[in-house]
Amino acid sequence: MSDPKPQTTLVCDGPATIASVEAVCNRLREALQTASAIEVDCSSVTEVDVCFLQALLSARMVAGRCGVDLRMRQPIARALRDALERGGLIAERGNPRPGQDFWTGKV
Amino acid sequence: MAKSILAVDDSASMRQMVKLTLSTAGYQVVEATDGRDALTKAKSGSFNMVLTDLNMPQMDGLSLIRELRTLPAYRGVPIVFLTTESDAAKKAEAKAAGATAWIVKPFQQDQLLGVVRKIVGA
Amino acid sequence: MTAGDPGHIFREEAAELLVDLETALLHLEQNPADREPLDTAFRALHTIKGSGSMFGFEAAASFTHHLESAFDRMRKGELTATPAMIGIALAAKDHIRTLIDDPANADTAIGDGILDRLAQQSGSAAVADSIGGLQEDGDAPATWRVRFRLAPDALERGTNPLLLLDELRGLGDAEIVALTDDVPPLEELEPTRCHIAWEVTLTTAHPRSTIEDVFIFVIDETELTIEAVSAAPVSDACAAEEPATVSGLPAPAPLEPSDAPPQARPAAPSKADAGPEKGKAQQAANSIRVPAERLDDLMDQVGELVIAHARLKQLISDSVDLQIKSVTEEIERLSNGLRDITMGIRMVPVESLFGRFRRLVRDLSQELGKDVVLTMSGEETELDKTMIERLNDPLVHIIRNSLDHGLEPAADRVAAGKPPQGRIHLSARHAGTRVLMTIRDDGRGLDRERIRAKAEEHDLIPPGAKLSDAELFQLIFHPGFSTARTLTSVSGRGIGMDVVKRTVDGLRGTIDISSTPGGGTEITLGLPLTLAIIDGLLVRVGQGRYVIPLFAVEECVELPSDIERRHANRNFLNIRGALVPFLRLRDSFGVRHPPDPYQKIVIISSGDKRIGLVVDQVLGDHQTVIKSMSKLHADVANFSGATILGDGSVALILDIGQIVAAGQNQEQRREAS
Repeated sequence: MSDPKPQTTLVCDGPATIASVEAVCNRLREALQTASAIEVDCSSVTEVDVCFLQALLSARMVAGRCGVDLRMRQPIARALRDALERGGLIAERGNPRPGQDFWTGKV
Repeated sequence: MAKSILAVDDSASMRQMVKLTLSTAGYQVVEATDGRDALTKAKSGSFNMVLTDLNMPQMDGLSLIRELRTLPAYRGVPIVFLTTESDAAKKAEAKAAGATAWIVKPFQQDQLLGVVRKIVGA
Repeated sequence: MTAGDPGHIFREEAAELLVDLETALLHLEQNPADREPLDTAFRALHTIKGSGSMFGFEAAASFTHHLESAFDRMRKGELTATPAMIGIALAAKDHIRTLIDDPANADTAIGDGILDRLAQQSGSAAVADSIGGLQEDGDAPATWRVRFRLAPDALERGTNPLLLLDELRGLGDAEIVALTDDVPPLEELEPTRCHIAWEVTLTTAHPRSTIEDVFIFVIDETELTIEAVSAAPVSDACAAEEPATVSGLPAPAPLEPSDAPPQARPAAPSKADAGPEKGKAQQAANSIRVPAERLDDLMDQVGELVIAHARLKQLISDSVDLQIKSVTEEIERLSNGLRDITMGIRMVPVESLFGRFRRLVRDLSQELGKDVVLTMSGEETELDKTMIERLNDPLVHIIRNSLDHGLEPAADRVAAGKPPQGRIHLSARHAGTRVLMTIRDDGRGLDRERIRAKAEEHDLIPPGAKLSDAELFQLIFHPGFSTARTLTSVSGRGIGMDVVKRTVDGLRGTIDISSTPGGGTEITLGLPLTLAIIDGLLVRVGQGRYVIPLFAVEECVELPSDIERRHANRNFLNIRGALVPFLRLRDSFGVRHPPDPYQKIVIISSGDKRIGLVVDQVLGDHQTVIKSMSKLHADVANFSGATILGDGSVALILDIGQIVAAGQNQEQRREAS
């Protein structure tokens, strides 16, 4: 409790979809206000949709602005990687997309 | 994991056809005989997709679509309606009620499967 | 089986499609180069196959599939619609009907035989194979840039963009880039709305329409642009629609300013509206199919309304309140209008009936080895749908008779100085509130002597009785009467002209026959426009009221008071020199109420016979809605139905055919005694 802005880990598991996205957003908002570093642990998500990806993109934007270190716990789950590839947020092959290392970590 | 589909139609033979087609393709199908039955089943279970006829006794398809869309659990769940009317008005009404897609009757089994795969995935 | 059962619906639909198919085939036989019947036939087969497999009529569907393929090839010009091919198709059509209506009794050997012949014909009738022509899918791959932004609520209503992207990826080589610039910061994010757009660079051999089809369910509300980034196949009809933003496109036809920002295209026409289906689709949009029962229900309700109005009118007839009177008149105008419209809805052109006989005549003429041509006129004349359905069997029988007995073999015709080809003409036309339907042949005409001999043999007429032609011809409607010397498979099917007569009577219709020896026979059916409403003459007998159908009424005269005194047992009336028998309805109905001092006679006619009906009072014209009688009373003699009068009481409608026959019989008995 000595650090006013502690590191925190935010765990998402199971289906990470529209049904739970409001809750995820609330947790992200709270974490962004209270923590200086956030690690999002999606290693056990089973299903990912566009809403979930949007929420993380949106949180990253705020994190960048407020100087919060927001990272994805590596390696990411297969379901998340699939959704990112299918949605054109990370390249399946060839040159990585700008901002791709947010998702996949620095190579 | 097999995707689960709630199939709603008052016609038993139609339900049978839908069930046969979709379960052969690897979907889990739960049948409901009308809108009211469907709403009860939708509330007590969870489904990846709802496939409903529009003209039914008890609660019709349009009301079912509207009711489902008020349930937080069914926000984002695809709802496909079957209709004999290919006219734009009926389609627009069902879409406005929150439907995702439609299948115009009569249709063939592979057409049904095509739309379901397109809307909810394999 | 309920009307909502899909199998039932399919059977109904298939029955209609098979009729369309047959009409198209027969038309095609006459005009092999005509495109429209070919398309109609193909569509009918296509729908039967599609719906058939959907509703479990697998045998019918798979059988139909072969025929459909053959017709598809004909449409593409790979096969010719030879007479042999049409013959096979007609046989196949009958087989499909059996497969649908009575699958248990469908003979696979018949089906296989048809398919064998079809295969042979398809081989020999094949036009020079592929001319190396146009292929629907341009095979040269083109590269497209597809940008789309879904409606904000697309995710909430269940659209999954990842699946759309998967589909695009499935079309070829795709590079997908998410456009995330519009994703707002978390505090402003509406997390269930869609803020991401996508740009897909897609290299595919599929045409542009296939790409559009990916978005079929969201196309109306999606911002979608599809641009060619490399030369698209020139044959692709859509190429001309490309925005001219891309250099290197050969002679593009810029439809949009080249600096226009990418934006939503107007929804592309869906496949269903394109091509040969278009006309039909548009037509369908202007008409709807309604189950016949609903029309019956509507007619019932309108009938009740008309009756209720009549009661209202009666109730206020003594009123001096002009306002109420004017409202009542307004209601009368409206309910009459509603009645006319409702009746109009039930009317269908007799073409739908006549069309069925083309096949009948074709098949029968082959079976009998007679060359016969069927012509028709007035097919656009409209008649109540129920009436059309019930007329089918009588007309089939009359046409069979004409073909079998009326028309002579070609050799006889030539010998008689007639063209070898026989002629049957069907016509329909309006005559007042009735429709006259005529079946005319140019055959040998009715054989008066044989009819007379037969009638005498059966004791239908006394030997040597003097009969007019019309009276003589009416005898052929007597049960069991048949003049054909040998029973053929065509006409010897156990139903006679008496059934025709009964059916037409049941429709409150009339039958007239005229025939010229060696010149032919003409049978004319006079039919009411509708079964639901009748124009009648309301009469009173004792205290009861009765309706006499107006079409049968010739005139009303007063019963000469001296006739009672002078000829108490002679029931004849001299109408302008002709003796007309009359019936005292008081006696027929067993009325005890004392008769009015001045009795009236209503002269009615049926066919060539006339009789008078003695009544107490003629109350006047009365248009009325017919209520059919309950099954319990359905066989009550002399009445064909009932109606409810303005004061709520019931009036029975006289069955003209039966009454006239009864009057004639009474006269014959009297003469015999």
